[in-house]
Amino acid sequence: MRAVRAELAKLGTLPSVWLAGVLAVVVPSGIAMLNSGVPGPDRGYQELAFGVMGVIVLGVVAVSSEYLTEGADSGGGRQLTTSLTAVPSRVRFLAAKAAAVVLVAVPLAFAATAATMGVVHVRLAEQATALDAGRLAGVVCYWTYTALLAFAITVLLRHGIVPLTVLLVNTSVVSVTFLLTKVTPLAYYFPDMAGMRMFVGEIADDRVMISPLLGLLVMSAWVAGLLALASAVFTRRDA
Amino acid sequence: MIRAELSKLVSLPATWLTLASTLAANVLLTFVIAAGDAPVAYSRAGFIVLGVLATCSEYTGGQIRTTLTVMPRRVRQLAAKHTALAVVTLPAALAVALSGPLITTAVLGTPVGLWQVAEVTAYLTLLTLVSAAVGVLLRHTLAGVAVLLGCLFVAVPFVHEYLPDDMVTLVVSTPVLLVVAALAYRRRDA
Repeated sequence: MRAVRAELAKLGTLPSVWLAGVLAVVVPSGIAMLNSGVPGPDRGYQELAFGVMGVIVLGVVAVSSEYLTEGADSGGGRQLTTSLTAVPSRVRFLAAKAAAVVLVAVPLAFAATAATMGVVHVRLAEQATALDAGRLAGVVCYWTYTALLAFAITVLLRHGIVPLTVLLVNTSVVSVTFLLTKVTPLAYYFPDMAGMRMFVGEIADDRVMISPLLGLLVMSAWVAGLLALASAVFTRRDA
Repeated sequence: MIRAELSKLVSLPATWLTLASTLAANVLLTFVIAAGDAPVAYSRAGFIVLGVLATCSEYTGGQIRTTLTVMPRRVRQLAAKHTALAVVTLPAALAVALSGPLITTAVLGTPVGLWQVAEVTAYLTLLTLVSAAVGVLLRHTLAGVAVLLGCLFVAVPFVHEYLPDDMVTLVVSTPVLLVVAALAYRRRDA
């Protein structure tokens, strides 16, 4: 518990995490504002699917900040050395960090959902879709999982640039994983494509139907698998 | 001066890694999308990373202090840095711009549009310079990459209808950002 509190304190003092928080709320609600006012069953949810930028930054920065080499004037050290001196059990350290990321990502997802749905309801008035608790839970789940995915990949790579670039490029409206679905239907089972099914009813030219529950299971499997791999690698290699 | 900046840029493993993975991603995506220069829409991310790295690498570990001791005229130093970056980027951009059309030509037999290749090359080079300018302003690699990718991949598709053509926007914003970066760089502490 103390380790989680320490990790939360570290996250709270990183400027990039505050940037991530701002992005998380501003990006999806901004997209909802700019999106032309065509009502549809997926309005709001669609924007929340593309607007995950904030939690990606959160997940990446939580790990990459540990590996950042500080200048020669501050000893050329890395935060990670200090962190592992304080919490020597690697699994406990990683679990505490993941818990801290979740504790930040969940309220961010709630705030983003509230802001985005608020904008959609103001813009569309009565034509906006009624809110559905199951789908909203799907949004929060998708956002949290995305943060954990970014977290796990960054642990594996020990550097933030590659996961940040790949994941952010993949949040573009026509994502790379979506293009891959044109090559093989297996690409529908990528974590983002499957996870979106938890709350987006229709993805352009569906050929494989995935129910929200299956989407949840597929994305959970990806996240669990990558986290397990990350902790296995993290416990074995030199910090 | 330009030679010094060039040797710094060329000796960074990250420069070569970025360029190689950008080209690889572009070639792979060409097979996925199967259309000339469409994959550049994605692989331009690599050039953004290159530009940001070129200026932000000075700020990891205090290289900037050595640089500015040797070349105290800041605006000239920054100009040299951007020139060196352009020298490295131009051939790389040409290779990436050519790779897509060449593959489609080989597979489908459609001719390579030279004008289009030139336009894509210019686009990628200008994009790299803009990224370097943003890197100077933010002094933090991750933040620079996040901001630029967010603008290009998330925001721009939605404000597209309010903007002129991509190329026009870039041609206008490049000099503006370069000047802003140079002014900020001149005035603040290193």
